[in-house]
Amino acid sequence: MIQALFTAYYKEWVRGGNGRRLLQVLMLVMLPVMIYLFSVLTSQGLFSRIPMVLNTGVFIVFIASSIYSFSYRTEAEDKLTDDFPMDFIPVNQGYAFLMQMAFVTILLYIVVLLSFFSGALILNAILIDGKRMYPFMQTLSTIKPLIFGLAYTIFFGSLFGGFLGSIVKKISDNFSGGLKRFALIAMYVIVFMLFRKYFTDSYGIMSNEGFLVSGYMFSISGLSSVFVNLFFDEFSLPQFSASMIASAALLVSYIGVNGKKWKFIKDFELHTDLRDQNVKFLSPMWNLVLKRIFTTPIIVLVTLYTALILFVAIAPGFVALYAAIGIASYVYLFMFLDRIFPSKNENYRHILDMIPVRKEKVNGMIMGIYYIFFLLPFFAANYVMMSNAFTMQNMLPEPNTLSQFIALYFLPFTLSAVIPSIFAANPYFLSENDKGKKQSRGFVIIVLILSYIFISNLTLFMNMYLVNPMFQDFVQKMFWNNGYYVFKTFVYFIVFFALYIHISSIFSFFMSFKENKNTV
Amino acid sequence: MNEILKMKGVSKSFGSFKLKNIDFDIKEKEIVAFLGPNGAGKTTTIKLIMNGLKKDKGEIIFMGSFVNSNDVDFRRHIGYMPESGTPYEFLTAREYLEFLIGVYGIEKSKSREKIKEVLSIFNLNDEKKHIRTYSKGMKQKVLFLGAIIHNPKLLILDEPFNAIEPQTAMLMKNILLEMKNDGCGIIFSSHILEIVEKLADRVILINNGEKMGEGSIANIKEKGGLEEFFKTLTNAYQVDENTEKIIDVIKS
Repeated sequence: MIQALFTAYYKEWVRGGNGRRLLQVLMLVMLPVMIYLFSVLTSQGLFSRIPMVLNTGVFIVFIASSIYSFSYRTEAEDKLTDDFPMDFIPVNQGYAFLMQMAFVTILLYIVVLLSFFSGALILNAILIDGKRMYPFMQTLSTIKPLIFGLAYTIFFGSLFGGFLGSIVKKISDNFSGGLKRFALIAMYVIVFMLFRKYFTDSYGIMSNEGFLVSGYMFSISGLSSVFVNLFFDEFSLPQFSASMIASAALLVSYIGVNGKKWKFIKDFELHTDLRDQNVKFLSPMWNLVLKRIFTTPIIVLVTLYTALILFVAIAPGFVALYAAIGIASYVYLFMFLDRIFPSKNENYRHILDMIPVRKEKVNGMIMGIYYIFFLLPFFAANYVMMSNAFTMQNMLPEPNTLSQFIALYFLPFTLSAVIPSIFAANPYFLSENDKGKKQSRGFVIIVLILSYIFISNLTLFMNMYLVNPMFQDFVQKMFWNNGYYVFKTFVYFIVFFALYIHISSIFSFFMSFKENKNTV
Repeated sequence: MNEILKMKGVSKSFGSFKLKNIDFDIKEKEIVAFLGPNGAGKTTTIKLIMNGLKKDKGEIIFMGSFVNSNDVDFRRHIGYMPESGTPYEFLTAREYLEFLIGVYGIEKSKSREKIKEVLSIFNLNDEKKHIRTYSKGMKQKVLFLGAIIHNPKLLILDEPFNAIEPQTAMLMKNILLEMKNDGCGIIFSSHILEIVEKLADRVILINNGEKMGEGSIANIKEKGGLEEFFKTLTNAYQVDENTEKIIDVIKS
């Protein structure tokens, strides 16, 4: 039986769909690269500020990948419409879980070991001023202890990630949609709590070295460290417990009043009257899209979110509110994305092909909603937080040159272009294309996560470049002493592409109001 | 005939739907059809047997033993074909069946050639095609083969003939009759009255989560046929009246 399960896991994993391909990139390329950079660069004492950031990033990526790896476990909502082999074959769920964990552990260990050796070979080829910077044998001897430590880290990382994922799935079985996805965020909060010391060290090192700039702030590790430290330093444990109990009581009463049935509540919006409302001056198509996205919980969240932002703007000293904004923004992010991206069973192509509506109009409407109700609150929150909390700490540098300006705003500017570019590539509200293929919501979320990891790390390196002369020298010497121009061209290309996406998306929003004689 | 499965007062509710006190049994060498309109509770009942959903109350007894959640031994003796199942999509049909054979502990070397032959009979012999590229009907065939591959004592089929081409449907019907003669108990749900009439020994009718009636096919035929039985128990007499109403709406 073990052989049968392993074979199935292996084949499913290696072949995979678009979503799993991206997961493979995350686990099999990015994870080893990050571990490798961390281990090698730390031991060489080069760029002393990087390791802790990468270390924390590695850890989070690791946990996330472990959790997402256990995708064979089914969810309660699927059981009503779909069955998976694991539901009806004679295999104990706990046994299957252990097998999956063993599979991921072995896979990761082999991949990371291989990447260590190939990485050592690549580093061996780097010559600066004719000097071999990382001789192969020296690198190997440096990382030798890691090879043994890695087995331990990977096994317990997978075990921890897997069990955490399993518990979260059990809890989130009571919900669906965006709330379910929010449960995943709750899991990260648990990780933060358990590994608080880790983040505190990271935060401490960065603060001491004056590295609390936007590049760090927006990186995975930076954001997590700052978030955790703000949360726990400014928000004592009794306050934290009280607020959690209050939130839980609120949630229970909401479900009690509206849901009545605990176990089978299917997202809050089923129990609201707001969905029946029509905005009279808008077309039926606009009403359809608005009704889909603006459910009661989203409206409540927008109001709460706006109130919090306003409150922080008025009373900047109230730092505990930053944590509240952080949580509200995460909930909002997940619920909004859940509504704006149709699920795998929804295919608007069939509907939109039957009615006289241009696909450009639908896409323009979606873009309008995205910019007004998603990006605007996010930028407002960031603006308020940066201009109050962080100028208060005199940590935010003023950009003087275009490069500094780009480095400062690179992450929000480019990351916000990811969703519009996905919609541009998959028109008809993400429904199936002319070849009959449809992107899943999971695919979109993985693209977003990967983009975030890529862009945040690129931002981190850009900021490193701006403040560290040693790093500048290193970059310049790459690509036959043209490193600076190569990287600058690369960064500018991304910026201009993002600019093009933003302009065309906003343009498509305005064009969606254009009426055509034969269309709605 | 020995009783294989017994459901006693099984209830389940979720959202606004309620399945109320379902009682029935399935015996060896018997094919039972589960009939009812959309949303009547057929699939829910089947999922309760398969433990995909947990019952609120009642008992499910398989060959004298109570079935508990996650009962691995129970599943070893059961073949299940879900209505909208998702086999591992990145395996080929052959790989999927080999996976099941491994799980059921059947020796693979002996069965490899047999699987090839069976897949070729079912027109699924493209070795390179992954299941995700299959049509709905082809996926149904894979699920059907997956359900019968270990020669189960009880076969549970949820809408097995949906999207299946006529020649394969005939083949499936013959296979089911042969399995029944060998002692297998079979329960299947369907909307297609002709198939039910030809295949089933007994019919259980369910509507709005309640068992409305039960009877042998021979008896039902005597009393005017399956269509009449269905109409009487589901209050489906207003077909003509409703047709007129809809035509009126379209014209207006």
